[in-house]
Amino acid sequence: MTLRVRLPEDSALEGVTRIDGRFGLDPDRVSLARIRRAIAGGDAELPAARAMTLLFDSDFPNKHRDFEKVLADDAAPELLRRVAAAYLGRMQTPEAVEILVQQLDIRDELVLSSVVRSLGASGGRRALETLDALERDLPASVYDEVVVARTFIAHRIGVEGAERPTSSEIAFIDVDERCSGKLGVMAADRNDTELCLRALGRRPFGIELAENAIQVRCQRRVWLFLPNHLYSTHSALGGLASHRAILGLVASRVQATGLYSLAYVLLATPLEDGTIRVVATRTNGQMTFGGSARLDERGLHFSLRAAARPGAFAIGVDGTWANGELRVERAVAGFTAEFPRNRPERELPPAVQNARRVT
Amino acid sequence: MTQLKLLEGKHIHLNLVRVATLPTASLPLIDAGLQFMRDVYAEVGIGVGRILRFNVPQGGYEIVVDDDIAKDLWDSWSAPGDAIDVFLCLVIVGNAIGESPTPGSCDKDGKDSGVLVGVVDSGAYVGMSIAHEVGHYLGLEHENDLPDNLMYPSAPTGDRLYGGQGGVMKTHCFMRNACAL
Repeated sequence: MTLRVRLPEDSALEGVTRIDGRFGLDPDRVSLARIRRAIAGGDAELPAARAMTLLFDSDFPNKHRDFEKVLADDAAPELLRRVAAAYLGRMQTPEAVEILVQQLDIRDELVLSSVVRSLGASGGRRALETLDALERDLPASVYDEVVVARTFIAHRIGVEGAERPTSSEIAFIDVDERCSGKLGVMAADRNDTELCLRALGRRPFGIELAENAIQVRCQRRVWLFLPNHLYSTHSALGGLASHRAILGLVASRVQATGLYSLAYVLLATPLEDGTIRVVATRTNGQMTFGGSARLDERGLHFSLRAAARPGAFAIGVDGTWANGELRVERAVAGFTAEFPRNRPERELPPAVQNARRVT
Repeated sequence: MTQLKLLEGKHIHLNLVRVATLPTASLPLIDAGLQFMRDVYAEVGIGVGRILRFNVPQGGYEIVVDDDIAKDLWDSWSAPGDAIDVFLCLVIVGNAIGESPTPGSCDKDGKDSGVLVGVVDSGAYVGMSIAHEVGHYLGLEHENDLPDNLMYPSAPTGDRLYGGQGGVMKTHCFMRNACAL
């Protein structure tokens, strides 16, 4: 479940602020002037990062310019600049993408990483060319983001380019049939699909989604697979054999609210042996599952497994995608994580750290 | 003394896991927040016992942009011990300032094991957010009609918990019994 933020009821500084207690701040009821003042750090009751959320949620048509102003300001707090970059990436408009491209000369490593990540989520050909031309001596953390962003964009526009993960980085887990349960896979309810599409917003991850969604259930968890509109018909599937593509997105349902959020991006890459490599990654480039597929006159036959990584649960899904419909032959998931999770580093409480510094 | 008394009954332990670049300047804010949580949970006779601190050294989780990145954090990282993992990031982009499964997993290696709080985002509400999200983890639902309740869905929430809610929390598998003091 989520906890949202609202202002105190008596904070109607300009007579237009009214807070909807259930859904948090209502961007239509907070003035643009107040939001801008808060972003500049001039509102004690409204944190700047929260004000940027309000601005993003508002229908103010020039909001990308406000985010640009923050992002381009070297003197602005690094955190706010990164949040501005994140929102520009979510806007999915040509203007926002152009602003991000223009800001690729930012020197702050963390801010630049955020700009690159946002371009990965929204950029097109010009963004890819600009990223390709970036200097090679980038800091490692930025370079990793650049490779991930180039991979996403190359798949979005269907061209050759970076690949992440590389073939050598991929290892899959087989499902132990004695210790697994069936995944429920079926055509999604139309209302549920509409709810999901609305939640994901305009051109999520830079693609148009089709409405023939597939629901996947595992105990309390529910996901929707939404195919890329470009590949939702049988005739269009042939393109997967010749160029890279984003096959579609997987959204997961938030149990408490019933709303959906973007979970995985499905990337397809044609290989020389005629098969198609399919990889599902988180939006941060972390690969979660994948496998291979092959095309014939009956459709796209695929076999997917979970990637071997800390905390991974085994899954196995085999089926055929044809004419916008999914036929599943096998869909199972393991009950327990196959690999131990990463352990965070222990650190001392601040008081003890300070005491050590004194001594 | 109140907390020591509470540790003779039902109580929980917490692992505070901060992501890499959370500024150390935020730490006093978090400590003050934990005191708020202790006071609220004491109302229903629940103590907040051992608090261990950890950090996730790798980047990528400081600003959580998509809700599902929170799940990636929970699924990929886990601090040891019989404590609830409270991941502290800088900002959760969007309307949320905290995220938690309801109820949370009993298995530290199970799905959705942990809660997430955006510290800078929460500002003065850090303690409220931690207490609220841990409340979800322990099985509490939102109380949409009770603005004075900790489980009111928007921050600032109230600072009240009621006996029935305490009863629900005490049945969660992460609830510890009396410490030998």
